[in-house]
Amino acid sequence: MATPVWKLQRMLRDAQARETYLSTERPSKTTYDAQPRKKAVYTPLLLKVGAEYPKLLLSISEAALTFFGGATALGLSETPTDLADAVRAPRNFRPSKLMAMVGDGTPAPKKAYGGTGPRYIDYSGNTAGNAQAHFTAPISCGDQTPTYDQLRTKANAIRNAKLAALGSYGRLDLILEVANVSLV
Amino acid sequence: MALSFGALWYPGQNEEDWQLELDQAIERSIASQAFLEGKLDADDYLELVFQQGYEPEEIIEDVLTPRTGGGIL
Repeated sequence: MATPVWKLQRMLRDAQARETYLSTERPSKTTYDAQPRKKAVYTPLLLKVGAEYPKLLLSISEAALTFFGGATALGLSETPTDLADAVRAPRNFRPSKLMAMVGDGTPAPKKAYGGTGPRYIDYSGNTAGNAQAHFTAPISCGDQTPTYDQLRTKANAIRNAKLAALGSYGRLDLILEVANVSLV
Repeated sequence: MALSFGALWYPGQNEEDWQLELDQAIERSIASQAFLEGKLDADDYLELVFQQGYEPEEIIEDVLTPRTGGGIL
């Protein structure tokens, strides 16, 4: 039986579409989104070397540092001597951190996967341009002997300062340190 | 690693709830560290997790699932 005309037409259409697709360059983003990071010194809560709390060098998003009110509010040190003395965090060490999502007052429904996926509501805020809505930064106790109470005070202060900025759908998460580390 | 799960603040949460979240997070953190150092018995640790309203079985499953991607922050 001869191949029907509609099938040949469809094959021709598909072949032409394929050729057009393969011969043109894929669209890609030509701009670079800078996500600058900064070094700061973190004092652990649980990790001790002998009787001393080691100073750990962490790399922190500058946007997050600004959002949470700077290194002092987060109990991090940026002094040159501390930066010179600090060491890298050991494997499996996870610092205490604050994670914030700035909420959007008027959340809009969106479609996942570029318009073909299921409908969902995006509560993450700052719809203006490419403005950042999620921030993560470590939080430590600063110079003093670290205690949970100090960490609580710092977290409370940042929460109170950021109440308005987080908006009516914002979230703030305090994750405490995990020092599943064996130091010999 | 879900051993130390944090405290969550959301809009409209009252002050007592937030302080309770912090209390519980700190309690979990202390207990988790004691457990990791071998100072706390596994049964006592699971009992504490259960008292705080979590299912130990689910958390064990979560801990055993390998972590994907990401750095320490």
